[in-house]
Amino acid sequence: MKSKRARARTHASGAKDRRMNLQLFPILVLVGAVYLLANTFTVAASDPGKGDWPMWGGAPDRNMISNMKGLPVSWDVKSKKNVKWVAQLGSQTYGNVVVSGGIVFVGTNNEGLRDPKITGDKGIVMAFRESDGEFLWQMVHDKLAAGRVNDWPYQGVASSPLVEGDRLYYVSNRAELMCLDIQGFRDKENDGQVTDEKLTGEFNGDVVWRFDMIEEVGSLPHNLANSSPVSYGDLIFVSTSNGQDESHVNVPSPKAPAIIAVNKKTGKLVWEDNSVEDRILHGQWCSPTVGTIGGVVQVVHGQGDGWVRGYEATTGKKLWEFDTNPKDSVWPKTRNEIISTPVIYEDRVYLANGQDPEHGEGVGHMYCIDGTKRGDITKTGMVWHYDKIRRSISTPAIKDGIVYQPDFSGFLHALDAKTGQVYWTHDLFAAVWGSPILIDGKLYLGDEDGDVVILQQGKVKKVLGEMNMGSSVYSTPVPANGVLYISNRNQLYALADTLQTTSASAK
Amino acid sequence: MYRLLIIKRVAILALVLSCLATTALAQNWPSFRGSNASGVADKAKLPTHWNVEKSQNIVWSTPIPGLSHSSPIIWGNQVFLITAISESATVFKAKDRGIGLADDNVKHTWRIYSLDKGTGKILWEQTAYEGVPRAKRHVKATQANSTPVTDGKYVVALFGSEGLNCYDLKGKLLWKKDLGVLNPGLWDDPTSSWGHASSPVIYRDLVIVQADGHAQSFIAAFNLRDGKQRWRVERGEITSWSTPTLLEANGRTELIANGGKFIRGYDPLTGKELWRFSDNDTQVKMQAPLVAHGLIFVTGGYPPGRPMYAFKPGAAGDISLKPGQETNEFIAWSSPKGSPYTPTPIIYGDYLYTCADHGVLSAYNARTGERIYQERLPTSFSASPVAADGKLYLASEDGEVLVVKAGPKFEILATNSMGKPLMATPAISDGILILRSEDKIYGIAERRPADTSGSSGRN
Repeated sequence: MKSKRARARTHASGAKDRRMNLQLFPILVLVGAVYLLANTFTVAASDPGKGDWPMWGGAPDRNMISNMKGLPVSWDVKSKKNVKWVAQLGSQTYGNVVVSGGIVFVGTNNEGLRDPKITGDKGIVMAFRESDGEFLWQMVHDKLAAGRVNDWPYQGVASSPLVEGDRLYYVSNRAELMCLDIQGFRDKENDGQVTDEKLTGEFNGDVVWRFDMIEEVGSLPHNLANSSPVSYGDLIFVSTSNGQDESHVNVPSPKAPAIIAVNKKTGKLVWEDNSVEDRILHGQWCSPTVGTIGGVVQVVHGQGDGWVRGYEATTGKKLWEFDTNPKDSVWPKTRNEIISTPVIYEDRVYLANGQDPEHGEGVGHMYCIDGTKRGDITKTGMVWHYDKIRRSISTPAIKDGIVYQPDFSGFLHALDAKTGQVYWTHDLFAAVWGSPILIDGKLYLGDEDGDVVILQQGKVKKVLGEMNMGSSVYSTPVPANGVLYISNRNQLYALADTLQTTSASAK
Repeated sequence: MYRLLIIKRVAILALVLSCLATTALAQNWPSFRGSNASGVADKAKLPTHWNVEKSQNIVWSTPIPGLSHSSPIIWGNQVFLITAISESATVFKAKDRGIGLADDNVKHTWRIYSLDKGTGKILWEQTAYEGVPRAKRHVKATQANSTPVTDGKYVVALFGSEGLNCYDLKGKLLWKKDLGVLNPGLWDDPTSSWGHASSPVIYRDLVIVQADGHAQSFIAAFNLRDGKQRWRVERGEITSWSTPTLLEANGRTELIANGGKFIRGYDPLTGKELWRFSDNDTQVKMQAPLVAHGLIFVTGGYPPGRPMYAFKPGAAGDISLKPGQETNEFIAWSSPKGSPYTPTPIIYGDYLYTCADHGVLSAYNARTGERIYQERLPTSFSASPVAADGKLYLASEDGEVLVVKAGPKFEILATNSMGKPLMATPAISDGILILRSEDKIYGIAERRPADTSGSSGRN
């Protein structure tokens, strides 16, 4: 409830920003930024949606849906049709955009050289002004000295941040859970417990606290720590990404937890769980989800042994666990890890398993799980199992009783949420790394070829359009305040329906 | 009028003669993907269906020891191929997409074979090197990845870091040359070594080698006659596995070399760089450039960058695209996407076909880049497509050869199972498809119903 109010607050401050923009009208027209202007009107006038998109999945249940209306169904990145603004990122962008408090945040690498003095491979979080895409500040993280085994080169920050009020939470490439001031040092204040930041210029990020998961809980992330935080009450939940070492045989830190809960004000550990121990097949790249299942607020997390586990959010008490692999499966050929984020929808947990994209394609599994059961619920909690899916790293969108779940081979599956029965599949012909998002009855999904396909929601397949973004789309389109954000590998596009806006504003 | 008619007749005669010449040439398959990497052997009739178990259209099969993804080549009645034989069990994962290395720290024997094209009988074999490999390899690769090359007088085989050997057609070693450790690998990790794969090419009296690895990045030309180095240019490139291609146009010959930083044209006689094109977003290149329809097609790259370019010959200097540009004076068309990672595309007739690693086959108008179709095949690929007789032959990692009808309409004509992964690009000559599987070489051809004798090539 509290977070809802926080969201409403940030929405209101966003509206204030937009009003301020109106005063810039004559200047903008002079420089020809008509798109920007037209949009500013619409958002203020007609946005009936949820406003901001403050975390991965938009809400703690991670369901990739939005009621926002009036988002574009066609655009052209070459002619700039329906392009409100474009921001340059690093050379590889695996994180997803979040939007809150009039600011757009995204994780990337340092190849964009926003600060010419900061060179070399780094993890970066960039902040842009929502209204016009102006670069505000960035947070810079050095790479871990151990190299590829813990911090893969050029992958940048892959965590999608969580914003609550004036605080930004994410996991750095150094496996630190970070809490930042959303204003950075632009407010000329050094907020929080951490005051020894090396970079304190107006374009630098301001750290409030950091929780180093390597130091504090002994995690040794395999290839990259990437967890996207989620919160409940005073707690922030993240995966530690603890995993195997370079040998792909040993788990060097078997006592490190798979999931932790940290107090969001103090940055102190509250609870942790290590049910997986040394049984990590490879890495742990699944982000946790929060929702009410059977009247209990739970954190649900897919872990390195291919099991998904449900915890009581406030205490960390393990309530249930479910093996997402057939018992006769063998890693890595048929047994999978979990990279997709689980979705909580109507007391059920929906989840597909898969493997590191470097492992290519293979057999996959999708489940609907009854999280009201307790203990090992692999048998008792299985509502349905869908095995006509390939390995997947994507999170589903679920609405009106239909689950939309892509796989890494490039097939999108539309399934009955109650039975798992397939309504239709769609072949994108290219690998899918991101997730679908369902906005106002239309499903948007990007692929490695850089194509974003738009399909009609429903039991019958209907392709509404397909647009290319100029390079691979590893991310998930994000709706916020009447604008659709899509990042390709090195650019962030803010898309808005300028034609519709013009007519709307004429009224 | 009469004069005109004569001229016309002379023209037709010339055309017929040139076709005959082409046919005669087409019987040879002298290098990786045949003549100038085209992958095409037209005018040959090739079977659509065959069956290994029933010996249907299998003219011969010959076991070859060791492990090698290098392709067979053909000159006259001789087939040439190489292999690397490990003294212990070999790790090989056909469908692996990771970065893992094989442990080859035991003695290997590198060999070259010549087989009879009609019977598969081994005509001769020579041991080229023995010892522990100087470079590591990817679990999906082998210690013998480069395809040999011949001009009908010399056969040159590159055994990766073990060196470059030149033989005559009877198997006599004429010279050998140590090129140092050739260790392409994960592009940003100098400790990663996945195995050299670029194949040598022949131009006039030279054999030319491109080797872009962590330790060395060069193109060098050696006399076919004595192996003496004629020229060598340092490229400063990141890792690549691409074989260079030659183009003769407007009185100039260009050696086109793919690369992760630049695509470049060189003078093959001197090594002088003629033109370059910046292609920085692609990390690594595996694919051979292609020439057809008066254009140069260069593809390849690891995601996120998988562009396709159609260059015009005759360029000079830096012909890179400026931001936002798709074409310029020397770029007929370009696309930011569409290229496979491993298999080189093929141009057959009016169409450019791409067969992606994950089994998506696409056809494009070669002159414009317009996509004609995109279809999903139920398998995955490393080998490049070859074409003949109006058909594309696609050899898969699941051990199947899919035969697809050439043209604007997609149709699978047959799926022929070979049982074991097919990693080498097939060769075609005189109506015979030479197919390399993990442990055998097959000669596949249309056989008359009367000809029912079994496989004759085994020895």
